[in-house]
This record gives sequence, C-alpha cells and structure tokens, in this order.
Amino acid sequence: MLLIECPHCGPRAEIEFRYSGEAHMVRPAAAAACDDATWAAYLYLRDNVRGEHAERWRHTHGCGQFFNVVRDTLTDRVVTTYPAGHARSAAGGEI
Amino acid sequence: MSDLILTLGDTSASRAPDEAQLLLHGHPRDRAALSALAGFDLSDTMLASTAGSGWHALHLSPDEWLLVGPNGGRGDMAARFAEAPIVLSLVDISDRSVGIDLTGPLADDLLAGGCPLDLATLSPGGCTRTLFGKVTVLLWRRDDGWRMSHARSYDAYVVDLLCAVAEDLASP
Repeated sequence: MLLIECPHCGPRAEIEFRYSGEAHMVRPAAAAACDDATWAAYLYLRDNVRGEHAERWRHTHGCGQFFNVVRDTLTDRVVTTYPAGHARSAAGGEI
Repeated sequence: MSDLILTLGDTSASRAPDEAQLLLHGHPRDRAALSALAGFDLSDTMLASTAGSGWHALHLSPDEWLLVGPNGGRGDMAARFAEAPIVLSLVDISDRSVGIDLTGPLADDLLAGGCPLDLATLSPGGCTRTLFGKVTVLLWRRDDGWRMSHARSYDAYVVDLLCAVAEDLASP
C-alpha cells in the first residue's frame, strides 16, 4: 500500500484516496472553436511515462480535496505531493 | 444516559447524544468573517477544533468546518449565516449522521481494528475524516475519548464491525 502525503491532512493510507488521472491537463481556452484534433488530444492523449509521473489524486475519505502527486511509475514511489493549482515543483523533476 | 453498544472491560462504546451538526463551507480567506458569524473563532489549523458558546467547530478541509452544538441552538446558528454578505454554504446534516462515543483504555484499539490512520497523530481536539472498514467516518478525539460519526445508513455495518473488533480483542 502507498503512503500518500495529503498537502492538507499529512501522510495517509492509499485506500483513503482516489486516483484521478494525469495532472496539468489544460482545457483548450476556446473549447467550442478548437479543432477536433486539439479536442481529442485534450480528452484522450496522455503521456504514459515510464518514471516520474504527475497525477491528480483526491482525498476522498478525508478532506475531499484534489491535489497533485508525482509518482514513479517504475518503483511506485511517491516522490512529492503539492496542492492543486500549483506548478509542478522542482523536486518533482521536469514537466 | 445514552444507549450502550458494547463494553470491553473498562472500555465502552455508546450512542452519542443527538446534537446539531451544521456543515459550513466558505473560502479560507473569509475565515475571520465566518468566525464573526459563528460567534467564536474557527480554527485555521487543519484537523483541529475550536469551541465557543456551547458549539464546536471542526476544521476538516481547507474550506470546511463542521459546527457541532446543542440541538436547541440549531435554528439560531443557521439564521446567523442566512444574510451573510460572503459566499458560503451551510448544510444541516444533523439527521444524516449518527455518532458513537468510545471511552476507556482500549478505545484506540477498537478504532485501530478498522482505521488505517495512525491515531496518535490526533491530539485532544483533533478531528479528521478517515475510513472505518469500508465506511467514511469522522473521528474526533475529545477529552474523555473518541467520537466517531458516520452516515446513518451505514450504522448497522459500523456497529457490527465494532463488535467484531471487540470480540477479537476480548479473545485470549
């Protein structure tokens, strides 16, 4: 089981959380006007990295907040966590 | 006298008294204004509680405080927020949740039978939502023991699990 540091509640067991996909996916500004390829990329294209991956988690059975986790997909180690809306920190490597 | 659910030596679990529970959501930057409306200071420390004029405020999330107080004061407290000039939400969840009070030397062990949380991280007054078995519960460490509250519809499950943990603890 992962021990995940919620930015608001501190370290908690993985079963308190819900995974919510890759982080920092930016919705196209003019959603109605953008072309199909851009929209499809926003909806479906993900990096699927081997290594450090920034992803969203929600502390479902806790404070209820979404936040970001950098997790190594190779080792499953949680590298860092930071609040939603913040840029990926230097500690978490490159975007 | 509240209803007894189980006893284990000097440890017991009993029905918590019926109290008003109002769930307050507001922006953290409005905390001072929200405190003024509530009539006492709302904590800005996560997972901590404050008290004033018979009410307690449990800081469960950056934008969320649970106000717990006497049933008779429910209407008065809700009315204070009705005309507030700031954006907030106040929901009366008194009937949604039920509480269990756990007191005695084995209270922590009873909870640990279903909670993934390190209970030592909560000092008196500390509060958090976590899991008990499969159910989201609110844990609140009070001076005389723990208050666990959860959705009314899950109560049978929570009580059964609590009794199962107690049986395990009682067996040699």
